Formats: sequence, C-alpha cells, structure tokens
Amino acid sequence: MRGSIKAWWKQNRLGVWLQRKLRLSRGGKLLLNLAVIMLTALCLWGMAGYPLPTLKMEFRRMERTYLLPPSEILLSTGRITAAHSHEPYDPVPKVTQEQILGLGEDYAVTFWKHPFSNGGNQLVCWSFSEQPGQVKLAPLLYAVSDTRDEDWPERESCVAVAALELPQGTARGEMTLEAEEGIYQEGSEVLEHDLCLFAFQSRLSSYSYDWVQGLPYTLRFYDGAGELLLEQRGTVPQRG
Amino acid sequence: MEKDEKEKCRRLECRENAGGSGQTELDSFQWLYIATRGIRFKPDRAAVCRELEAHLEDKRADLQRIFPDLSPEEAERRAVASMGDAWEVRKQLAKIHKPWLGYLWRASKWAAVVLVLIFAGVNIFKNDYYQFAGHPLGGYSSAVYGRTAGEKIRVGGYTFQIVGAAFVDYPEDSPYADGIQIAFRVFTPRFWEKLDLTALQEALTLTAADGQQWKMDRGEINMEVPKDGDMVQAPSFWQLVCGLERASWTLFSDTYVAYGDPEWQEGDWARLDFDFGAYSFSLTADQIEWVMME
Repeated sequence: MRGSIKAWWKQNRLGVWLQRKLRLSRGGKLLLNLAVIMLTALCLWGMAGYPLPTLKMEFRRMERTYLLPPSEILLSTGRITAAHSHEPYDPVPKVTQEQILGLGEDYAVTFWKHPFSNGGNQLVCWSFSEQPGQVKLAPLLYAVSDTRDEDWPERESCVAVAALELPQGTARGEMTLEAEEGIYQEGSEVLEHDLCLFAFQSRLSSYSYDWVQGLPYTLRFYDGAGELLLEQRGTVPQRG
Repeated sequence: MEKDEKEKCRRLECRENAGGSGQTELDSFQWLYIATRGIRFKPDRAAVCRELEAHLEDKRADLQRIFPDLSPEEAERRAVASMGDAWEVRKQLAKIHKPWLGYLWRASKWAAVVLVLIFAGVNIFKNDYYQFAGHPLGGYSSAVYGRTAGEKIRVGGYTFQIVGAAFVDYPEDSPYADGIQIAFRVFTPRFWEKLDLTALQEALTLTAADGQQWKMDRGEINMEVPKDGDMVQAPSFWQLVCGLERASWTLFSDTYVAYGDPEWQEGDWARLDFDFGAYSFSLTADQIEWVMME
C-alpha cells in the first residue's frame, strides 16, 4: 500500500513539481515539518480559545485583558466537584468550579473559570464601598463546596462571601443575611491570608449563584475568648 | 534479501565480532550487507546500500569491458575487492550517519500528519466546542462609516485609535433611527489575550457635544416585532441605537463601534472616555462625517 502511494506520488504532477522545488536536506525537511507542526498547533490552540495550563495563569491573563494590575491571590478553590440538590436521592449534575479571589489596592477581584470554554470565564472587580477600618466583602461568583454537613452523601454546593481586612485578633466570624423568606446565618474560622469565607447553602427558592448579592447583612467577629470584636452592618455588594 | 543469504551474513558478522580468523572472501551481497550494517536508521541504510550497489555494478561492468576474457564471477570478486574492507567501511559509515536526525525527522513527519488530520477533522465535522470557543483569523459583523485615523493611545500593551466617526442619517420614512457611530480599534500583538469585551463595556462612556452621555455597559435597541394574532414573530429589523458592538476583527485587533443618539449639528464632536480603574484616558473625534443612508 505504502509502495503504491509512493509510486503514485512520484508520477503525480504535483509530486514531481514539489520534488523539484523542494530539494531539501534532511535538516531542511525537519525544519519544514516543525514549521507545519507549530502552525497547526497554533491554529488548534486558537480554536480552543487559547487555554492556559493553570488556573493562576488564566486569572493573570484575565486581569491583563481587564487592564488591572496583578492582585495578591488570597484564595484559590482549585478543582472541586459540587453537586446541588434539595432532595438527598435525586440524581444531580456534577460541576467543577475553579475560582480565585485576589486583592488589589482598593478592590477585590473574583475570577471564575468556565469548566468547558475559555470564552465563558468571568472576572468581577468589587470596589470597596466600606469605610476605612471596616471589613470588606467580596462575593465569589459561583458555587463552592461545603463539607461541614455530614448528613449529606454528596457535598453540598454553597454561595460564598469572603470577608477581608478583619479586626486584629479575630478567631472566628459570623454573617447573617436578611432575605425575604427569612434569616440565613453562617460562621467561619479565620483562613489563610486573614480572611473569613461564609458559605451559604443554596436557597430553597433559587438556584442562582448570586442570590446573596444585594441582601442586608450583619457581621460579627470574635476573638479566641469569644469576646465580640466588631459588629458591622451593610449590604452585600451587587454585581452590575 | 533471501533469508538464507541474510543468515549467512549474520554468521559472518558473529564470526568477525568474535575475532574470527582471516579475511573471508565476500560476494557483493555479503559485502553490501556488512558495509551498511552500521547505519542504524533504516531509510539511510537502504539509500547508502543502493548507492554502493550502483558503484559495485559500475566497477564490474568496467572490468568486463576492459578485460573481455574475465568471467562474471571473477569480475565480481575483483570489484568487491576494490571496494575495500567491508568492516572498515562499516565503521566509517556508522561514524558519518548518526541516526538521531533521522528518527527526529520521522517523528516530526508523523506529528505533522496527525496534527493536520486533527485540524482538518475539526473543521470538517464542525465540532461545536471549537466553534463556540474559536477565534477566527478575521471577521466582520457591521459597517464602519466616516473612516478616519485618529491619534493612538497605548495602554497596558493595547493601542487604542478612533478609525471612524459618522452621523448616520436615515430617510424620514425609514424605521431606523439616526445617530452617531464612533468606531475605534484596539490592537495588541498578544493575540491570545485580546482586550475583554465586558471590561471595555464597563469602562467606556460616549460623550456627545450636546453633553449627553451613554455608558456602554448597557444598550438601547430599536426593533419591530411583528405579530400574527397572538403569535410573536422574529423581528423584521433590529438596530443598536445606544451601546457597543464589535464591528470587525483580525488576529491582532478588534474594531468596535459605540452608538449614541444625540441632537447632532455639523461641526459637533464626540468623545470616548475610558476608565479601567488603573488607567483612564479619552479619545476625541473632532470631525464627524455626515452619512446619508438611502
């Protein structure tokens, strides 16, 4: 089969012309092949949306395309699998959520990587509206998984709000949200980079990931002895 | 090659490698086999073997021409003898013909074929994933009127320039609304990280000479939706009156058009104000061309 293809190529007009024009050495042919490989790989990379190997690189690129200076990365959720359902035995879709929280000069950025397409990546810049000395809030964009509830066989997905610039000596925090249907309250230990992450389980009436935004909140922070350090009220920042 | 001939040559090789005695007289087949055996890359070995075989054949033919009384076997024996020691030739050829370039060339050939086939397959079968995420080399979605070349501002690796400024005037009986269209191009050599459209929409405000402003993170649409009884049909026409859209793109640049609907007079200007937080700048279109649409 290969022999007949070779024989056909040698007799074919195009093949004869190419053989005359492209009298390349072994090294020359190698370079030509490498050029074809690079060009084709580049086209395929572009067609896939120019994916980058790590979440951090995607985040930094998104900052550059938003003309934002590089922020300090406070939180990276990594590749986690979240399932959301209000019934324990319903089959549910599994989704993978990768998010990053970064801190700029007077703003925070939250980045969410679309699981299937680079074109769906999102970045939101939360300018701090709180007064100096107050705790700053930055809602994450999509679900995170909460492993505290041991009754569920699967992890429960939650909507999270990060609290930054905590009072000195904070050991744990508490956040209360006032929604129409009632009160939601969550607690959080102080995590790395001196932040609290309040993860609210999915609201019964809504599957959207931004239901916490715009709701009135009360924050309380306690020291190791349980003494109240700060109580703060306000409205959770809202996108758009 | 015949199997038994190959077997004979292998035995010769083993005897020689084991320090076997004396010079064995080789026929042309055996001489070629041993002389080219040191070339590890098979295509090179075959090519050199063909060349040496041609040499041997020429020598044999010459001997028979010069000494017509010579028998074919004697001519072959003398031709082989004149080619030199097969083992020595083998060593020299092995030194010259390094296999790594050959293996690399072969690997690159197959890699190129596989990648080209994948590329062709993706395009032929129009995989939805790639269609959704793809960045074509060039495209066009709407016209740019009032072509001009404004000043360039370079910020964060991106170059901004106004490339069109027009007041588009539709006939009175046309469903389309009059308005200004300011086109600007954003260029970057880093084609894998073009400026984000959402960031641009949130940062941009169009300001007209009469003081009106339009933030480009929202839009106003003019359209007519025909109804057939209670059934709503597809819009008969659709026009972006205020807002931002991408008009055309190449690998390194995107051209956007910002729309507004001010009260316009000849000589009026328009300004694009960009506020990215860390970077703020403006581009002004001093001359707006009046374009009459038919």
